[in-house]
Amino acid sequence: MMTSVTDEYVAALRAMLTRDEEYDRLSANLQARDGARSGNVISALAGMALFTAARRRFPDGWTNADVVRLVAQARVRFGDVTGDIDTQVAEGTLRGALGDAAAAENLDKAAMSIAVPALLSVLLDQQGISGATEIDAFLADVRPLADAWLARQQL
Amino acid sequence: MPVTDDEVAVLRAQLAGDQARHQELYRRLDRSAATRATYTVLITAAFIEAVERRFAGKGTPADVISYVADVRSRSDDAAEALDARAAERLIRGVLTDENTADIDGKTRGAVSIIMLSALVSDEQLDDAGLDAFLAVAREKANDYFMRRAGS
Repeated sequence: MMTSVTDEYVAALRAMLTRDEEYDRLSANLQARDGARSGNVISALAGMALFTAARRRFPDGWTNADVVRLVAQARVRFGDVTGDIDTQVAEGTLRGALGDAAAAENLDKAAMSIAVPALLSVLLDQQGISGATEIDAFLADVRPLADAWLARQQL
Repeated sequence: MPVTDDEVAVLRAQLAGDQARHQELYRRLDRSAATRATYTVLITAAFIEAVERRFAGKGTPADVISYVADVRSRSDDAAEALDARAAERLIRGVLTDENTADIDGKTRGAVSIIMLSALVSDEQLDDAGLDAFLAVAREKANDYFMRRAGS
């Protein structure tokens, strides 16, 4: 069966971006309905959201210092004293989104799933994407990218 | 075993950014196990003093995360060599009673010397200031040895 982004998945990503507790319920429902495919779609959406937000945040290029500082800002934002957001994984994930594919290889998937929402939260906040209208516009940009990525995976 | 002038001179050269002199003095340093242990205690004492100075009254967890990131962002080498979580924990270990006993010696050593160098650099001490800082660190290290000898 062709895997594609549906409105339910966009709603789940929206809940993730707005730190809405509904995210857990929505993603669990999609997992129950679609099985393993749901993970692929959510990963595609979250990955493209990070790709889009990161490249907009650093339109003229980036340095390792930019990455280090942004990950620290995410950890400060979430009061991450205990290191739940793994610094190395978060930095590697962000570098990957910015084009350094090697940096994102072999990263722990569970740690990435914690890092990505935190990174997105800071990136969107820094770009003033916080209201419903801005988030909807952002999601409208991300959705076709995720669809295209999923289509490529199924070739 | 009290800290010697030679050990203080080695650390001074490093903290003053005089790498050539640091390497020369370090090569000449007595490399016995006892001296290595004394030098490590001196570095630890200096790290503690530098952290206390830097974070006195403003050592929130967010401050510590931001400062470690600031140090790691100064060079790719620093970002690579400095374990952020270990650095944050060792700083908080000075400021609070956080237990850091599980951090291995190699990591502890790398964090201490990198963070110490950054902390002292940020203080922008002149020669007299650096001497005064090292005198306090030396006293702390010697206090540690005296307490240990008395226990």
